[in-house]
Amino acid sequence: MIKILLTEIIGYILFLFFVYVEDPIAVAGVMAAFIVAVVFLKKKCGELVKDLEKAYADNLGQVGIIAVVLAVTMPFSLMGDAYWLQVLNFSILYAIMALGLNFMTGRAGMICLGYAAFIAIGAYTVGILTLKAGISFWLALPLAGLFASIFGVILGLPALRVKGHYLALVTIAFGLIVQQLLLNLENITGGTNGLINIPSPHFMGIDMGANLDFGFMSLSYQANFYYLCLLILAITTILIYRFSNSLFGLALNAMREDQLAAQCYGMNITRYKLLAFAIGAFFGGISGGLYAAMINFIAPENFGYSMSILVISMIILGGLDSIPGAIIGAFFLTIFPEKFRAFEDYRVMFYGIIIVLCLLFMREGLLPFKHRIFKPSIPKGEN
Amino acid sequence: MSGEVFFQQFLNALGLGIMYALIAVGFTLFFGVIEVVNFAHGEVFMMGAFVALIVSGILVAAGFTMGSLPLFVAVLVAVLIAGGIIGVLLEKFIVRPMRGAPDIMTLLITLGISIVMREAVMLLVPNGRNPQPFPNLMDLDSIQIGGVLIKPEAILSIVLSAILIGGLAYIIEKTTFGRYIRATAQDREAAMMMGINVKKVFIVTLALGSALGAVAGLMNGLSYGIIKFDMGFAASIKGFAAAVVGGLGNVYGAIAGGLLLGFLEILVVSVIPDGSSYQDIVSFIIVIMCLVFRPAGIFGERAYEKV
Repeated sequence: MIKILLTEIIGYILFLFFVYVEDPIAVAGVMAAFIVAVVFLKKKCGELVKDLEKAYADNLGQVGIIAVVLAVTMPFSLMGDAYWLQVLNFSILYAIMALGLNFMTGRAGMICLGYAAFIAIGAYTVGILTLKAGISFWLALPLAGLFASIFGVILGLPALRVKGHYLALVTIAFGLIVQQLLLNLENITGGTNGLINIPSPHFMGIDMGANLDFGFMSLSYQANFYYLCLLILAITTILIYRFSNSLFGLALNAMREDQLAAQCYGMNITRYKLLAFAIGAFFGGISGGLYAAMINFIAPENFGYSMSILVISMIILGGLDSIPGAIIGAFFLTIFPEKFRAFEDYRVMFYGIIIVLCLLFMREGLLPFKHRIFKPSIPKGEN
Repeated sequence: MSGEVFFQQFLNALGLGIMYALIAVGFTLFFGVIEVVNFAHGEVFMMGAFVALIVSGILVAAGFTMGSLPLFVAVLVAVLIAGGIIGVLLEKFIVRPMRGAPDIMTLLITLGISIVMREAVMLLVPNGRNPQPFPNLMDLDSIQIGGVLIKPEAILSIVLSAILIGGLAYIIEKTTFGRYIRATAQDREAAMMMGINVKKVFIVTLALGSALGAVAGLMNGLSYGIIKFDMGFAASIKGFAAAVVGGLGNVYGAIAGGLLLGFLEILVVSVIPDGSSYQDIVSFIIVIMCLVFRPAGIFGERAYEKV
């Protein structure tokens, strides 16, 4: 408990330091020092690191609760700064996307290079429903997820017959087709101009597009979305965790390792594949819907191929099939480049380099997937 | 559609198709021999065009006349060599370290390096974000056939591509090294046991395929007169799609697939009103259909999974 609390607070302080120190060189220096320290600790004090890993693995509930409590205080620590809250919002949205994609690509082993299409479908669902049909955001958001799921199943149908490289091609094509359709169906989607003035949602009479006033401190309106996104990220993480550790998740792993063998053991591959696509797409749609309500403006070029690649690089960096990895990867790749806006031109290249270096030298990612250890559960009272 | 327009569109389709074929041949070679799908191949295509642009600039500064035959030949050779070198580098630093890794990893690393290549060109070429005008490397008079005015670049591209593809086919079918390549494609272990230097075969395959891809980039610059740093992505997708339609691993299938895709696209553009905005959608839907109903391609043999 103490160990977890301490390490998470260290992470929290490091993040605040990262935010408040202006000089990019100082930030880079501290980051480098931090990485060196971690590597050093892993080399020299293996026991300590192992201890920590065990503490984290054994007390997932505590880890989550402490992280959420710390995260709730974050807008106050940031003094309600609009810019950094927005950055955090984006990283949370990307974390939700990365979790969804990780379920498809990491857990079920079906590569998807058109994930941005699901995000786009979610965003446009919320945009069109709230803007043109006047439906409440709170109804539109689940519909966005549902709609994306339906498209996920549609994409899953060809995926039943193809895999590997072919699936990569099909998913890229799917992403491009959706983007082209958004561009061409002008009377519904607004074409290149996109949808503007998507209304901000209201929550119990509070306009989420207005600043959050606490009397002693006024938080910019991004804080509203911060708490909403945080809640949804927490729910997503729990759901994905439960899915992954269920028999269904295990079956997806089996299917990833050897589809034929899994089939021979009597698994209904069709059902599992479609379900994996539907679940992965659902979270893409939800994050897209949140994005639309938060930014109030969406256009097809926001959901291009590069977004799919970005989400892929997040899960590669974090480690395929690793739930904490997906979240950490999303946060790192969204927050880290913000401090180096002077090098904005190199941003996309940075993502490419991350993918290449990770795959060459660190194939398992930052937080590699841990195989589960079978623990026989002993019912209470028997023993 | 009048005869003249038809002829014009036919030539357009042939030019587009043969360009796709040149790219697809690379994809199919890499897959057949090395068993990788190299998503960086489209960026090799893009870099071929940029190498041509830069080399021609240097040569003109060195005293060659723009539009003369020596300049064109020099640029062509430079592009072939540059493509080959990029291919060798890709093999050494990207494909080889990933041998034995799951397919998905190899695919992703070529995707990653393709991003790096694209961005590097954008950042290194002056004003690289914007489309670059491509010089008219070969001054030719317009040709008139039966009252139809034809862009000479189109003919040049088609003839040159046909020669290159023919050359590749000759290397693969008739030379000793071509036999090595075919043997490696058929059974890597058996080829090694027969004393074939498989490593060398891999390097040469990537060099050959990449050289052809780079020349396709040059053709693209010649026919459209404009090049851009991000044109590699579309080339990758179309080339890969053409290779898949023809059956991955089958060189002749790739050529047929490229031509088919080119003709289909021009057909969509010219027959359907407002077709150009649906050009990509139609070709992708056809590719997906093809994958679903004939996963081994139209010329591929049906494959059974080995257990």
